[in-house]
Amino acid sequence: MTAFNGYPFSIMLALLIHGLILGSFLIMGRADSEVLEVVRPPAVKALLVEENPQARNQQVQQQRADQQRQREEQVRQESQRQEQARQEQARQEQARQEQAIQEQAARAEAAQQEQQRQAVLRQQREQQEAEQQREREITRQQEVARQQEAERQQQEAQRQEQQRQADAAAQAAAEASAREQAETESEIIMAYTAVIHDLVQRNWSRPPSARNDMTAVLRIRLVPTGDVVDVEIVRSSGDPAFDRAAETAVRAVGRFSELQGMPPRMFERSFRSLLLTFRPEDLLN
Amino acid sequence: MHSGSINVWSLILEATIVVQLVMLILLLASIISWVMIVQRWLVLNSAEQGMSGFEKRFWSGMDLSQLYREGSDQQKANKPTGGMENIFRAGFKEFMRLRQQGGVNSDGVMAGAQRAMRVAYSREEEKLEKHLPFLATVGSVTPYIGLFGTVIGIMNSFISLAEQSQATLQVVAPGIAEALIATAMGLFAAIPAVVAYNRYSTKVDVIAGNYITFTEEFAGILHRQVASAPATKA
Repeated sequence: MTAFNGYPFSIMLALLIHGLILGSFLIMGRADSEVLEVVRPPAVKALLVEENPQARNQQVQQQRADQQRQREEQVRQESQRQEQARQEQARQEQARQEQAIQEQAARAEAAQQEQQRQAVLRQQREQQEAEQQREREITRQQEVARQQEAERQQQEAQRQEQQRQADAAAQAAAEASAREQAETESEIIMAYTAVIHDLVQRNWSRPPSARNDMTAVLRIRLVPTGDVVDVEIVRSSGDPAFDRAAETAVRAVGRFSELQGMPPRMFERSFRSLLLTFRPEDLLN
Repeated sequence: MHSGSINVWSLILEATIVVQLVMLILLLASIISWVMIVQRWLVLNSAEQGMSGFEKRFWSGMDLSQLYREGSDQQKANKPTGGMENIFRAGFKEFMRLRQQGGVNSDGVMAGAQRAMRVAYSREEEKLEKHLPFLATVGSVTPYIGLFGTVIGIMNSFISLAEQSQATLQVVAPGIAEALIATAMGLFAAIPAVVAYNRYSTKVDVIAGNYITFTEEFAGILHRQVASAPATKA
């Protein structure tokens, strides 16, 4: 009867309809999410936790022990050197005293000879004098030689001292560089273990029976090409499926090709045999 | 909301900008189309009711000038008259005016009245069909907009998949779910629009057909009057 267009009413109704629908989605979403929380499958995200802790601990302890030993060695060498220096001084002192005694004895003998010669042979005076002169000459030469000897010894001592200082400096430098090298080496090892960790974790699909308290320890043996040559279960988790999954993960990787570029010494020390600990820690139950 | 679980809201809120934009467009289209649906429903219903009421009064044997005066009173009281009544009023007004003018033969009077009714008819039809093209557009286009959003969303999720070194379902699933929401919204907007469009265009056809029928009948009545009038005058 009327050309009633009713726009306000229509708009309100349309908004109401959409509001209701969105509201029901919201409520449904809430309910759904609660249900989902409960029914969530236990194994969704694999996490490899703390792999190879024993080996790393051993390594760190080894390093520390090495450093300690080096320090002790240095202290010992230092004390030895001091001891040697002391002995050397003592020896020099003794030598000097002996020389003085010899000198006195020689001088007394010379005087005696002279008296004897004066008493017995006057005619041979000239000869004797010449002799005496010659002897004096000799003693003087000896004196000079002795002085030279002392000088030489002093120089020797100085040189030894310098040598010692140089040695100490060189040793300190070597020690510092060794420490630095050890640090970078442990960093490199950590980087490689992270790579291994990552690869194994990616290939690890956990069975639904996995539980948080399970721990499986595997020993894997590698060759320098990165190939896994042997996998053995060192400690079982008690769940065969879990153990098998862990073993399969390592075998699935097959080859850690990233290890190829590693220095052989480091490989032998840290990666020839690895302990991997598999432990799902993020599970709900 | 729980962070670990997926629900519709978190998916919508975490969607990429393009997908969110598509969703916004679809939501607006849906709301507007529902406004149109409800408004057309009201308009067509009132037009139907007005039509049947007027037909009843028209065929009750009431005097036509009395009917015309009632309509004028109604319009003065700020109540608009219905579609069929408007056609009647336009035709009757033109008819009376031409007759009073004189000097116009009966064919001319009839032609004038029919022209006036045709004009009124087309105006009424236009009123009835208003907004129906919008519903048709929403019905046909929103699925495509939704598909566009879905394609973009899946594209994004595959791009993010390419960045991952390990493909898990968890990486792909949220992106695809988010993308599918866009399609769902497109369909949600399109289905009622298509249904309403089909329903309403049928209704408009029925009402317009009734109008044409009424126009012809009324023209017949006027023709009778024209045929009888010169006789009385002469």
